[in-house]
Amino acid sequence: MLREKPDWLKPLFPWEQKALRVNGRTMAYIDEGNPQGRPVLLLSGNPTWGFLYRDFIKPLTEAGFRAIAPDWVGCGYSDHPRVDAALTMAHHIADLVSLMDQLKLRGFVIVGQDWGGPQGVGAALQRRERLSALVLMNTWLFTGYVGKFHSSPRPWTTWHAPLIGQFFMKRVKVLSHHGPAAVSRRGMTAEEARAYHHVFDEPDSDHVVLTWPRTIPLREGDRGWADMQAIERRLPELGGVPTLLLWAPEDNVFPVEYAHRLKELLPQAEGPVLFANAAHFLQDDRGLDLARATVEFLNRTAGVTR
Amino acid sequence: MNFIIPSAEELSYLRADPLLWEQELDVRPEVAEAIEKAVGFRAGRVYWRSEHDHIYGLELADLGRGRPSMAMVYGHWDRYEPRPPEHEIDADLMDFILWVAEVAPTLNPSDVSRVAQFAGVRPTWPEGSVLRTPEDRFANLPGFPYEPRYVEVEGLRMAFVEQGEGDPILMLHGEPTGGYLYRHMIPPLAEAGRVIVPDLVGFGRSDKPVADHAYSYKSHVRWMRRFIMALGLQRVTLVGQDWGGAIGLRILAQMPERFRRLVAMNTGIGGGFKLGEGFMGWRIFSQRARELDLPRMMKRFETAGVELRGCRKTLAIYPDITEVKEEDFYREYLDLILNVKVVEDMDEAMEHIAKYGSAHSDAIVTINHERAMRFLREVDSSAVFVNASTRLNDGFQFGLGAEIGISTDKIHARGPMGLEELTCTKFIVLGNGQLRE
Repeated sequence: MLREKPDWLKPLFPWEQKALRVNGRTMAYIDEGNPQGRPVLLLSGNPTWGFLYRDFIKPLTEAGFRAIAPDWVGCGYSDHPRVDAALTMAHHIADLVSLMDQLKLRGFVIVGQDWGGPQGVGAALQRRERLSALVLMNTWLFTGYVGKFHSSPRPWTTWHAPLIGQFFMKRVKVLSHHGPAAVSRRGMTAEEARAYHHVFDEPDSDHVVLTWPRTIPLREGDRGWADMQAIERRLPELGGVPTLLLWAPEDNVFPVEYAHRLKELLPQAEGPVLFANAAHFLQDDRGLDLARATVEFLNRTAGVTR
Repeated sequence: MNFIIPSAEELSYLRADPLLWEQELDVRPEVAEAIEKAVGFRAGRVYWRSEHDHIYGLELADLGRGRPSMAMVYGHWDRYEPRPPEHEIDADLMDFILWVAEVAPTLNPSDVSRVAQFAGVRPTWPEGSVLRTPEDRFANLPGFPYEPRYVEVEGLRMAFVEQGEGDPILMLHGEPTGGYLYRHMIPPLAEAGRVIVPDLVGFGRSDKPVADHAYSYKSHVRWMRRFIMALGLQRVTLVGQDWGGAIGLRILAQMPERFRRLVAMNTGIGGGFKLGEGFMGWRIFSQRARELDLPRMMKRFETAGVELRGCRKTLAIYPDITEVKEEDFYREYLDLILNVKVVEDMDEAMEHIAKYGSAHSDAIVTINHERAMRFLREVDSSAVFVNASTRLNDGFQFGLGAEIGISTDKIHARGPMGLEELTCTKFIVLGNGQLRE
């Protein structure tokens, strides 16, 4: 069902990739640690995959948790459909709900960065009674506040404009092949950079890097606006869920103002705990430290739900 | 095809899942033109509701070529929820494909079915969704000693018996019988030809899908058509009674080349004419006997001054009431307020009771003995009722003396506490519609 992992990747990412059919497509995930442990869903965003969380797996499993890192459909080792309409926010959410159902996850934790935030929370709202905690990192769950990065024409809104975006994202591959390595604070090895973009080597397999930017709701009517509003409206339902914000203030995509807005909407949230020397892909820059903070928080708040 | 026009609001609750897409619809211009003729446009969207009660959409684009050039088929599901079972989607898409073959003059529906069979399109049924009557229930059927034979259609086992040789004589039964209905006709007809008597899906030895929606006129026609094709029947004499006629006649119209003769017995096919009073009366009875008329019940509650709060499914059926909140399910109103939740099945209902209930009194209304007993066994409340009002739960009604205290949570003991009160855990009340006057 899944393609082979190349040999050079195995030392960096030794875990077995598993697969499920969600909504007719294959979703890859790793599932490590105690099968009876509290499940922690590690959710990445654009244009990454489970690899981003490699430094989380050991600390979480050693602390008794069950670490599950799925690749969104369109990313990593999951299917890469060639149709934009199969990669809407509603699809991503329904895919994760299907994974939660099929793995019969109970008392799960959502750890989300970038699109892992809204899509993870969107799915958790569909299975609210099974959610036990939230850890959010450099992400957002609302419309209304738009930072400089997302609203300025250079480079972001130009990168994914109709027709123009096809050139930058798909021909020049600015994001899929150069994104994570370019903003890395600690500097990536060639293998690490390759680990992120080799999953888009197949021609035309990188639709998702274009559909996601176009889903960012900047103004009413934008694709993604209604879904993001639906999530924002339902956030009070998460009032009793222990929540932690871990933030990389040097990220120019989601600066710390986003964390402050999240705190207004989720007043129970702890943090934002700030991590210097990290940019947008903070799990790559400061993975072990973030994992330790997550384990400490989850152990401290265990059983606090509702 | 049951074409519909969904409202924009309805669509906003749904997720469009691309199921089939084709960039070059005009590689077969006659198919593109036939579709254009059938839907009335060359660019735009048309929706239909399937046998499985899902909404599908066909989107056509012209691309400046003067005929539909690109088509996409979407399934529209609950926005954030996983897809319905794949076998339902397969069956619905198969219906759509057959519709395309029906409207396109150069395609033949039976060819399409054959190709589908060749390609192994065999909808699978999840475990538990299909029942099969154990073989020993058919032991020693008087006048029906024939060895059953089986053929698989769409993942379902269809049973039939066969006698004699020569051109096939296909005998189709209706509601609520089975191939057994023809037992007296088999011996004489077996001298004239090869008699083939199937049990329709849902009857006799054939498989029985559990869900109501699995059964429709269309699916029976499809199953029987595939049965005929699986056996490779030609030069058929069709004998049909009741639904057997209605199903067989439709197939005869679809592939007349396979049929030679027709015997119709007390049957018919919808032709726009009025059906008799007897039929209409029976139909009303058959539909009302089991269906729960929720709106009618709710209306009666409202008329009696009860405030109703409903879950989203309830609101879809009965819109003008307030939506029930999660915290409402935990609340003891001590007032004429009723939360209404529509559940999928008994498991979900009992989970709801376990999660939100106060373990004081819970009731089930059912004519199914097994379910009643299961409810009594598994629901952990101080009093559990079958077909009786929970308002009967008080010491005086139970004949234990006067009611002098009120509890809104789990206490089973009534009256003086003795051995019985300390060793029993629940009161069980069996009724047949008793209320408290």
